[in-house]
Amino acid sequence: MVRSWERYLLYTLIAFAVFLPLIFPFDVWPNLPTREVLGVFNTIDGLQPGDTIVVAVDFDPSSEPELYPMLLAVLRHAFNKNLYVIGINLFGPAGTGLGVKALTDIGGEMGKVDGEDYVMLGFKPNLPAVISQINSDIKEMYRSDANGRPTADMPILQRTPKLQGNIKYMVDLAAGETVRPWVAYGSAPGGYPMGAGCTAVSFADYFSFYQSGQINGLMGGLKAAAEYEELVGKKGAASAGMNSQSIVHALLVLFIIIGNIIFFRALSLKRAEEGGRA
Amino acid sequence: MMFLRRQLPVVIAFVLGMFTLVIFYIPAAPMQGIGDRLKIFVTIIGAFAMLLGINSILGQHITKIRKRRPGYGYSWVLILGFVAMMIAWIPWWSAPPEGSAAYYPWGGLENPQGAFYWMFFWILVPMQATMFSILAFFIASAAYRSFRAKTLEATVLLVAAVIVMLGRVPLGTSMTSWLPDAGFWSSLRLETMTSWLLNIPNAAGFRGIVLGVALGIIATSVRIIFGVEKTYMGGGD
Repeated sequence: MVRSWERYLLYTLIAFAVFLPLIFPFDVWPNLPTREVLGVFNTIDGLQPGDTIVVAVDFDPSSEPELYPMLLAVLRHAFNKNLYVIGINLFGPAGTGLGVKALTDIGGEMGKVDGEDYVMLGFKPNLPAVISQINSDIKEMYRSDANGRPTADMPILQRTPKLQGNIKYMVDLAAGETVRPWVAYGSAPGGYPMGAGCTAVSFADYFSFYQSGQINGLMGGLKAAAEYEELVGKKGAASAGMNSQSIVHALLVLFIIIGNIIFFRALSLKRAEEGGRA
Repeated sequence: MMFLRRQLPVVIAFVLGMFTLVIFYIPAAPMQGIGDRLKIFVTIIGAFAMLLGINSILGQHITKIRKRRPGYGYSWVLILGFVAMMIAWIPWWSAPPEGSAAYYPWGGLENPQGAFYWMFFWILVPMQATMFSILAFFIASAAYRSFRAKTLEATVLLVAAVIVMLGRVPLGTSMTSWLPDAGFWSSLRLETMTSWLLNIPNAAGFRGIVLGVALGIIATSVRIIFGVEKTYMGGGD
C-alpha cells in the first residue's frame, strides 16, 4: 500500500533525476561500447564506399526518444562511409515521417542527394509480404517513395532493384515485433547480414536472435544509441540522456531496497505481534 | 448464399494457402512471379484493414458524441485531429513545382513550414513520446510497492532485475569498473553479469517462447488451410 504523499515523493524524485542532469550536463561515467553494439558498428564500418544498406525505421513517435538518436547515429555513420541507404518503414504510418526527416537532415548535412544516395520508401502494411516481395523486386512493391516521387528511374533503385544479392547489410530499428519477420522473410532467404536496434524494454526479447547469430548486432535503448554516438564521434540526444537514465536506474534500485526494508520490517512487527498474542 | 458465406472462403483459403506453400519450394522464375503478385494482393488487402480500422474508430467516437457520453469532448479532439491531418496530407493533383514529386498545398513531409510537418513534428511526435516517457514514473511507483523478495523466485527475479538495471547504465558499470576485465574477478563486473543474464537464462527462455509461437502459427495455418479453423469468417462453427 503506497500512501499518496509517498507516490508524490517518488514522482518528484524521478522528475528531478530526469531533469537536473539534462539542465546541468556532466561527463563522469564513461559509456563503453558493448559487444552487441560493436556488432552493428563494425559491420557498417567494414563496408566499402558504394555499398548499399537498408535501414528500417520500424518505430513510431512513441519510441522516438530512444530510437531516433540511434537512427541518426547509424545514418551519420553510413553516409560518412559513403554508403547508399534505403529507408523503409513497415511498423506504422507515423514512422515514415521520422524516417524522411532523419534521412533529409543527416543526408543534407553530409551533402547527399535524395533519390541518388538515399531514399525513404515509406509504409506498407503486412510486413512479411512486403519484405519477401522487396527481396525480389523493390519497384514492383514501391511505385513511389514516401514523398510521392516515382521510383522507376530513381538512381539508387536502378543500382539496387532488389534486396537479395544487392544489399550488404540491413538494420531494423524496431519498436515492435518486426525483427522476427525481417529475420525470417528478409535476411535468411535474402542472404544478407542483419543487425537490430530496439527499445530498452524489448532488448531482452531479441537476445535469442543475437545469440543464435541471426542478427550480428543488437542495440538496446538509449544506452546503445549513446554508445553508437560515441563510436561515430558525434554526441547527441542519447549521450545527453545517459546521465538522467543512470540516476533514474540507481533511484529505482534504491526504491526497491527501501520498499523491501519497509515490507520486512512490517512483516517482523506483525510476527512479533502474533507471537505476543499466542 | 450459404455457399458464398461458408464454403467459398474455405475453398479460397485452401487453394491459395496450398499454392503459396508449394511455390515457396519451387524457385522457378514463373512460379516466383506469381508468388510476388500474391504478395502484392496481400498488401492491398492489408490496406483495407486500415480503412476498416478508421471506420471503426470514427464510428465509435461519432456515436459517443451523438449520445453525449462522458468525455465526449475528447472524441471531438480525435475527430478534428484526424480530419486536420488527413486534409494536410492530401496532395494537389496538378503539375507539381519543378523538382517536387507532388505538390502538397499544406506542406507534406518535405516542407518544414507546412501544416502537416508542423502538426506531425510539433504535436503528434511530442505527445506520443510523452505518453511513453510517463512509464518511468509508473515503473518507479511499481518498483517501490510491489517488487518484494517474498519468495525464492521473487528474490531471484529481484536480484536479476537490479543487476540488469545497473549493468545497463554507465553509472552502474562504473561501480565495478575497478575489477579486472579478465579472469575470474571480471565475471563479477556488473556489465559481465548483465551480459550473462541476457545471453544465457533470458535467451533460453525467450527461445522457448519464440519456438512455441512459431509452432502455434504453423498449427493455426494448417488448420485454416484445411478448413478446420473457421473463426476468421466471423464466428465459430
